[in-house]
Amino acid sequence: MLYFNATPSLHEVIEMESGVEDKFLRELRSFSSLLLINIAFSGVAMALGVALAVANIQALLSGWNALNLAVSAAGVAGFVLAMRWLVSVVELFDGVDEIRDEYARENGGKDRRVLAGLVARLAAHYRSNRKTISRVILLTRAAGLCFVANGVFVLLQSALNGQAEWAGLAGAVAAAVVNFGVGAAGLSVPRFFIGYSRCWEERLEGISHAEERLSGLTGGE
Amino acid sequence: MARRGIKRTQYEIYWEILTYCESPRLFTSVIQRCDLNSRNGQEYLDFLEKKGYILRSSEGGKTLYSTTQAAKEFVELFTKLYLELYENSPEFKI
Repeated sequence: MLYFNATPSLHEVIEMESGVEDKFLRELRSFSSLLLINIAFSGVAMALGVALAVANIQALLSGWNALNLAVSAAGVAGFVLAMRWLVSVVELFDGVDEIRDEYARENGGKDRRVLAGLVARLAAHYRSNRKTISRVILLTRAAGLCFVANGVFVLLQSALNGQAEWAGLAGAVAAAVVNFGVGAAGLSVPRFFIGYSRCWEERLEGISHAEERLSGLTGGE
Repeated sequence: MARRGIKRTQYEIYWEILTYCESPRLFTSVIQRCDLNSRNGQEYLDFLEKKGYILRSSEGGKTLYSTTQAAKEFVELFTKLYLELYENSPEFKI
């Protein structure tokens, strides 16, 4: 629940501003880290998607196999989803990076108005990227599922082919583990984006209340 | 600083204009800095001028816009409300 103090003392104001600046920086760092993790994982997911698709298409060329076809299709789907995931995350990162630059340029929280301006910028960034964040949530889930499915396919394929050699079996298990790892990352990432959205939705609600007070000054226009 | 497509509320735009025009500014500088097109920029400036928050003056044949004392209350309230709502909301952490 948001509330606005009526008349804070000077000490409270100074304390609040340094609290806001610390929180602002922590949040910006957390969100940037989340985006960087996503950039890395989407890159890995793209590479994995291509590798799976190419390996299974090659196998298909030497002989028809439904499982190879399914794995190559999942690889292509994973690659496409991962590429869209990467593009969406880079879009988000670009906006956050601009705000970080502005913070550095304006010497951050030395001026409370600069800090309020940066908060307004971050609010505008969230408003403008609500759809992108929802898309990232969907894409990461879909990509995560694709890679988990691929991991299962790889293990199934290995079992059905009756792989007796150690090297082949170890390779299949390693490929499945990598797929499960990327899949787990894809499935767990949405939780953080949902958390970020929740924080900002609450703040946007607070901004609506703030607007009511501001409209009292500007004559409600 | 290109910020095309950024969704700001009208109060955020008023605030940006008012804080930027604390030193007298040209129309083109205002719309460039606040990322507005000329039609919207003119509408916002006209509105703020009508409210007495912006003063239009001429200097060397150029029209300059500057924030008046009357705008101080709006700028202060905006700053206070935004800082408070940010501080009193839950924090995002990973």
